Amino acid sequence: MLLADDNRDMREYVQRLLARRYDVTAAADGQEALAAARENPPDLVLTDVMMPRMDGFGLLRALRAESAIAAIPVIILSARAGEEAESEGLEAGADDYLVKPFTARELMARVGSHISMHRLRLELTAREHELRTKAEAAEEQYRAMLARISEAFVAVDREWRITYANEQIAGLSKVDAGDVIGRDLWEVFPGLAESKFGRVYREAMECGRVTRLEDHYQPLDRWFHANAYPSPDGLSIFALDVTDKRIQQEKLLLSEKLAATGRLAATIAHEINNPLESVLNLIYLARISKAEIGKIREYLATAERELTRVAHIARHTLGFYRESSAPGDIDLPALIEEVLTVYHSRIRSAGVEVTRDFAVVPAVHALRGELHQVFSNLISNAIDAMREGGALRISVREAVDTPGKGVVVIQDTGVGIPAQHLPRLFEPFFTTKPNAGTGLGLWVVQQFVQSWGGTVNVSSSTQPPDPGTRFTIFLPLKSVSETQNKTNGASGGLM
Amino acid sequence: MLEQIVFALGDSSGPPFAAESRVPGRRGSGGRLRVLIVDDERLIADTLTAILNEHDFEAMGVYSGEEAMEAARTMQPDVVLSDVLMPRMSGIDLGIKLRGEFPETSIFLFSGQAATTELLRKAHADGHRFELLPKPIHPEHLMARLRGM
Repeated sequence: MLLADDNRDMREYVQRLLARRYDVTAAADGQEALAAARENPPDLVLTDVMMPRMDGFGLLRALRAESAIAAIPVIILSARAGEEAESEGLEAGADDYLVKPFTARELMARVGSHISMHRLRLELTAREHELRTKAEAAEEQYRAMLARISEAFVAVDREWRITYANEQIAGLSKVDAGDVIGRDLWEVFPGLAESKFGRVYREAMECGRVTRLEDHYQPLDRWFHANAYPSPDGLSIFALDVTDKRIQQEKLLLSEKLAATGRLAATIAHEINNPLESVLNLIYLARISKAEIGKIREYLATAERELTRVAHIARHTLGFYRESSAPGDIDLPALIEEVLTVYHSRIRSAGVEVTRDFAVVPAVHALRGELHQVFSNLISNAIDAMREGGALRISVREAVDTPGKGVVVIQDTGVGIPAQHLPRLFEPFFTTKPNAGTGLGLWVVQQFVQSWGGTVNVSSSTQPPDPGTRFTIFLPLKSVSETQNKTNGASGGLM
Repeated sequence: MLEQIVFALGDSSGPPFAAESRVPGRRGSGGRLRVLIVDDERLIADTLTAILNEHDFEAMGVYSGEEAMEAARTMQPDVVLSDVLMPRMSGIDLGIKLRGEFPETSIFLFSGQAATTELLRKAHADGHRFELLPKPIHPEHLMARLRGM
């Protein structure tokens, strides 16, 4: 505490009063007080008005002029009473005005109150400064993160004006991040509004729901994976260019498809060669045999039957190569029967017994070739697991718990898959048969099934008495109303 | 002794048990070539057996490797023609077993599947050599091969 008064008695009196509680420095005039304040800034200044060299107002002005000491509370002690004098003092910047004579109690009360307020103000200032520094540091970190991620980031307010964008958006539009702030999102990215992405962003904003989309973005002719996060202020959008990943994936799918085609061709060849051998022998026998006409006719009838089988295989399996690129309605039991026909010889050679449990279910809307490949891969694996014979059970029915979905179960009694392999089973290139196959068979199964909105699960046991593997596939079925809409020519169905 | 001489003069319907007096793998002393056909596709086994019997062969058809081993012990075939892909015992496994018990018998394998060549190569690496005939094959071509031409 600093006390300035030219009257020695006054100084001593006030000093004595305050010394009970505070550490008081006394000065005889404004100049001395100012020097003392600069050297050791007090928590409060008590000053008389009339002093030589520098008066109270002068001291006040000087204190307020220097930032280091400007905030110190100043109480003016004056002999001049009256509202006018008080106002003058307060207007000059004093925090309070005490008229002499004042009681000890009054003095202590005023001093105490101003010291507390001053301390509080200092604390608040420090706290605010601390918070501001933290907030700035956090924001800096946040911006640094947004600058580092590979995704492009755009934040918009509820009116779709861009509030923030990271540098990565330069790859998506012709503009720099700095130039887009305040601009309308739909304007900065022409074509976005009409695209599926635009629809998904509007949905996120309107419904307050996090949305995701991975799709081809026409305006830039690239594939993107976008996430949109709504907030009370608007929407945050993260978008990543996944074109390269997509291309890789397409390549893998294609190579597996080619390999599957090759395997299928080998299987078909075998399926056809046996009946052709029989037919050749039967016709030869019919030609050279000296047996009576009844026997000859028998040979020819059998040959006819075998050739019909060959025709059936050729029609249903080789026909799959001519698949259209448009999805169609597929009857699951019929398709599975086709696949089983193709593997007929292999199934018999392995000594496998097939049980079918097919319920009548609505059609699945998918690409026939892909669906064929899915079941072909699964059935082929099942047969491979049962080289010494076994049972293959295939069931098709509507799912009980999930309406609108069909469930296909392919269960074998083969050697089973060890538990440690199960989590990796659908990984590309993961294989337990080192020299056979591409390791992509099950990955392809999962890719296709998921692309039609379905799921595939596996469970397996290697332990006796019941080793074996079970694949369970859920697929969305076409609902009756959808089918009706199609035939009525209505557009805009779920697909 | 008389039976043996009669045999040597080209009797084509002798009992199948006199293995010691014949040289298997070749048409010995007027005797017909004994051929054992093995195929799990019954139609193939049956038609081939009928065709061979219509010609100068003595053929019998069975439908599995196990049946084949049993029949071979009774029949003592000169030639065995076996399908490769069969349940439980493949044609290659059968071939290896036959070689063990009937070292003089010619063994032909029969297959409509390209993957068989891989199986054969493995067997070959283990020291087993078998001849492979493709399916389908014209009966006359088959018979020529069985006769060793």
